[in-house]
Amino acid sequence: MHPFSPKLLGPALALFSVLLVPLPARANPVQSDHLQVALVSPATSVVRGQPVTVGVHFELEAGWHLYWKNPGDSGEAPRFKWILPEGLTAGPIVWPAPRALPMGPLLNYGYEKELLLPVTIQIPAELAPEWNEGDVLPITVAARWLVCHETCVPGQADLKITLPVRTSLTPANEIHTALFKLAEQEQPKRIAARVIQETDHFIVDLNLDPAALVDKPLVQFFPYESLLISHSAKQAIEFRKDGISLQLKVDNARDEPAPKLAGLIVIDGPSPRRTFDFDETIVRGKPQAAVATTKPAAAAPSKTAPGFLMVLLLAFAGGLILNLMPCVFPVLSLKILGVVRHTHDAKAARRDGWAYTLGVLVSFWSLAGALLILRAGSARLGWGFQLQSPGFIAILAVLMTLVALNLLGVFEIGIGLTRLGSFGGITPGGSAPTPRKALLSSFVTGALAVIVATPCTAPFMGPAIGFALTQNTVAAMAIFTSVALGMASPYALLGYFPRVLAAMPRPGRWMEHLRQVLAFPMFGTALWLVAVYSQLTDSMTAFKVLAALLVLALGAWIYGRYQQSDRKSFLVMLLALGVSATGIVFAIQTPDPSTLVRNTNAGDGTWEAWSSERVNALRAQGRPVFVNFTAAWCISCKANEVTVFQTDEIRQAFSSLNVATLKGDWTQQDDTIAAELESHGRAGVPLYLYYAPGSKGPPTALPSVLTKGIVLAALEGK
Amino acid sequence: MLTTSKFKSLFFIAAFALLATATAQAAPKVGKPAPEFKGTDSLGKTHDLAQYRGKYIVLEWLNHGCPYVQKHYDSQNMQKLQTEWTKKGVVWLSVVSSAKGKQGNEEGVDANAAAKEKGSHATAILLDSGGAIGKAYEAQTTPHMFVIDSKGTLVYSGAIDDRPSTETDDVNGAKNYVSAALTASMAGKPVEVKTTKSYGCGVHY
Repeated sequence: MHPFSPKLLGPALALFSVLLVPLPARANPVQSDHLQVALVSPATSVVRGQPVTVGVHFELEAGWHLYWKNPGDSGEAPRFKWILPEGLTAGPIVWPAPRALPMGPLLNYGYEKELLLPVTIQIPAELAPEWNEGDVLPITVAARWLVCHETCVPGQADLKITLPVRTSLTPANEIHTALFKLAEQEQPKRIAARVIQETDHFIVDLNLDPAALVDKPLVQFFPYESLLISHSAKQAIEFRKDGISLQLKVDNARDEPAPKLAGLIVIDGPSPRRTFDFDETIVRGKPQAAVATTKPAAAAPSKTAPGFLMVLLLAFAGGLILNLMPCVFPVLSLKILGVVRHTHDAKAARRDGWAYTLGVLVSFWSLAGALLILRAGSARLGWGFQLQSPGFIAILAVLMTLVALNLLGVFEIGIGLTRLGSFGGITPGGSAPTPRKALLSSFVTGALAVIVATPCTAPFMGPAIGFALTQNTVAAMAIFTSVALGMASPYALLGYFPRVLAAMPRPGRWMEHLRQVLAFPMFGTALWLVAVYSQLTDSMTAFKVLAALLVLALGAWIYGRYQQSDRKSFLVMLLALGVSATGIVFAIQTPDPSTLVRNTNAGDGTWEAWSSERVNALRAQGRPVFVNFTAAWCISCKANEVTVFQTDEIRQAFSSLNVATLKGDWTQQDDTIAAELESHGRAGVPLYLYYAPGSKGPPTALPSVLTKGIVLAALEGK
Repeated sequence: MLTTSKFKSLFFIAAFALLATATAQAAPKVGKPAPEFKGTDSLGKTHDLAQYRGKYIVLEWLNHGCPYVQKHYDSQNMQKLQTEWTKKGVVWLSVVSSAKGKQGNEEGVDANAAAKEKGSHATAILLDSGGAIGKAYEAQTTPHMFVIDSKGTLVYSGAIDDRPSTETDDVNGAKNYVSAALTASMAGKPVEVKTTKSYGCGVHY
């Protein structure tokens, strides 16, 4: 910075005025960029041998902030250099509790509006003899700070107060006394804690006064140092009767395990905020040990943590309901064929049912395992994460196209002219395929059904999976297993009810037609996948995928011709494979980064883009707020939009009640939205929240399947 | 013998399992392979991790509006480092991850002008307004420095030096972690300080 820039002129002039004007016990505040700063003290004099408290007092421009001693992901804490008469010593800064200040994916710790940083100055009993009664003692500090909004501006000022030396204390400055008292109230009470590291998480168990935990207040942990926890990761909290258990993500940048964890616990209830702190050695325990410490919560079920058995039941029911979801229907139709095949062979139906169940299980485990592994890394993902990746969607679209073409009979798979219809277990001749092949196809059908079903987070599954993701791995896998079993159960059990089987129609020529008809829902699925794809990229890139699918279809057709011709030419087969491979490669190649949609979470005419800041601002204005978390690939969300939100009735209700409508679009991976979903115990969309006007507490979460009645009842506060 | 149909079925199963994990984005960790990156520079050229296999790479997160960056450019510290190490064959990539419309965002022409004005000796300035590279590396601040060795392993992540301040004078006598990491690693020695807390302004994603 240029030494004579006007920016420095302000502080310089202020400093001049401090030096020239006869001094009161408070420096004239120094005006600097985006803040005003002064050195203040509740004391009006100093007495030999008695410490005196002074403090640097900042008043900030709206929107600007200063940093805590650990600034978090970025920023820098204010620093003071004291210039004191001989014999005087300054103690450390007594930091008030900070607030979490999010900045995109980063999180900082700091202060807005106002900040007092008190320091105790020791006055020795043997003050140098030149200081006599009535002499004024100068206390000077060179303060440096960084003040940030979007941008950051470093600032500095030399601040000074003078206090006369007296033999006994003079009355305190009342305004400053109140200020310092407030800062003192925020000083933490040291408590004991148990800190266990479970690979990538710290589990912190604290016993707290039950009075501090009434109504489950906001609790936040602020580490005293960086490179311990990931600042921006969601802090999961469980309330017990007499304390809390916090789950904090380990900062994965750290190269060796941390020996200790120390920091501040801030409980944001009615003011003043209550603060505690701890400084404990980290115990590296086996996951089981940590489970034991977090389990008390399961014994005392709370709103955020339903009983584990109940969760398993919910998960099972959710899995069952998945069968009725529109996104799983096309794959389900394949299963129908399989069921029909076994109408009169209960034994085979049972075997088939279990193979299908196994397919569902393995597929669920792979997805859940991948999700858990990714989350154990740093990715902040929720259920449906697969569909946030354009590459994965393209591969699914390729798969669906191939399945559809095969069902239509364009080409066959394998040697015996069997079709992918052998998923359904039928060959053109109507004879059953070999049992082993049938089992494998049932298995694959199960696996496929899961992949396609995941975007339809069925109503019961939202809370169950949300809960699963906050649990340890074993519990999480148990929940996913329960969902899988629920989904597979109708087919697994069918073989045990011969009467139901007997009621099914007999196999025949009609099955050939049915299979061909079923190709169309498959094409529909592919179409839908490309529509989702276009939401993540641009329409031209999505069009390229469609063109690639056309090439793939041509390849499949040539392959079909080759299969049916009598004189099989090796060259024709190569051509078929070459064309198909070209189609696949072009369809699934990673889209050019420049075509990727940067941010799908943008508002539109009716819905404003969601952000927690915006919600807070609207609530502060006293407006009712309705939040809609959705995604392009979420079919249940789209259904609700058409049947509820786009109706005149609901639109009128929103406008007549002056409801602010916000939409969080989760089509793309978005940490902030994922965190918000998590904080409401969900792992996926849809999630509908209603904040009643003037309410202070948490919002009402509406069911995932909406009716106009439900929304109207919520708006009317019923 | 496996029939084609079995093959196909197995392929599907394997594909599902693989695809589910393929979306994995490994978090950057010193001692592990550096996260992949691919980006376009201010001159329109693309750069990725793979093309520099065999060379050392320094990634420097850049925002000329940030006082911490200004500290290292106004004092010529950054340019000196860039000159010294690019002469020794190091690929020095300055990455601008400020999103469009956010402070510090640079388009090609501006970026070239800024680089010229500041006398940057970086190999290239990567324009990452989408934040993909920044998020892959979990870059938090400007500056935030990463050193990748010739085998593609991340050998240093964190601050440029041990003086987290905006004061130009602090450059003198500061321990520069980037130089230390490059010197040690190129000599085949272990890097002494592998991870530090980066300091500076938050990256404007």
